Amino acid sequence: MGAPVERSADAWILALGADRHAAVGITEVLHILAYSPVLFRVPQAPPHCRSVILWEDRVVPVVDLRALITGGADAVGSAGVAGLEQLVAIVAYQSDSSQPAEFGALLLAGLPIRATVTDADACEPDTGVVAWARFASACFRHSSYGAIPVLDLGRVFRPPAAQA
Amino acid sequence: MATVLATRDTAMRTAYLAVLHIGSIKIALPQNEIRTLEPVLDLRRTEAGPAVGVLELDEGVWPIFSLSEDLLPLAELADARRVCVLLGRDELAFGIACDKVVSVPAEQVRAVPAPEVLARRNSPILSLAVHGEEILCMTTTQALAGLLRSRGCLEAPHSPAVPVFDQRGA
Repeated sequence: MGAPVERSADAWILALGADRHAAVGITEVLHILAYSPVLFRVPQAPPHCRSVILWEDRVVPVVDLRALITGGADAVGSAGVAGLEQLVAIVAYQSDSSQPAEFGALLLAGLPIRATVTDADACEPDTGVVAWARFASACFRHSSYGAIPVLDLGRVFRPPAAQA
Repeated sequence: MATVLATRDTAMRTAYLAVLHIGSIKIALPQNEIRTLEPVLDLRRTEAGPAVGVLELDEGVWPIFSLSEDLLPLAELADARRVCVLLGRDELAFGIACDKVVSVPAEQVRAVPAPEVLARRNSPILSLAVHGEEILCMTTTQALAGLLRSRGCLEAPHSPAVPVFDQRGA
């Protein structure tokens, strides 16, 4: 019997600003919108999702991950105000494999970086951000950025009541 | 012809929508819910209370609220507000100060459900709508009144002093 084969997968590392990073699967990012995409603010929305974007004739919610993990205390900026200079990643995910793909958008502070992750890179999430455990399905260590949570996008885009 | 726009709680039947511009946000409600428009210049400022002033019409006195982009009542009338939209009547009469108001045929608007991640209890935004390259936030007078009541800005509807009985079966 041979030695176990080490599995690997490709991912996008997302820069959230303030030295925070997260990752998603390589096929989950569909599109990067640069050059100040127009965000439409929605009043009385949760602090981590205060705006939507019109993409491919769809209304797509825009999540600020920094605000999500800090309960709104830290955010990329005045997220949701139309015209601000920022990057948005359009992502696709399935809450359940029997369900059709759903679309969402994430505010980014820089272009995503491609990475290949192996089983040996698995690690525990940064204890400084407890909330990651609620939204991450795994975590890996990167030589430059440290522990990077792998997002479960179905959880990220759940209604706030279901996230608690 | 009236167009039916499905919202979270109700089907909104209206031929035209009034789009209220409040800073960068655009909220839309059935135009037939608007009583009248008045310039903010006619506002009589009030010292106390959450309303920034009142408008006195033949039909009564309408408290006017200046709202933030999160639809929270502001203590002062924001500089960009130019026009007061008077909504409702009788016990529900109130006004919102806006930067401008635009009328849009409802048939040009496609209502879409608000994404679930945006859901928040007591939000007055009942659904979203696509109009050309823009996204509008759909609401109603009742939903805005509910928000203002929850902030203590409007009184709850009065209960009848005398019980009202359903006389259909009497």
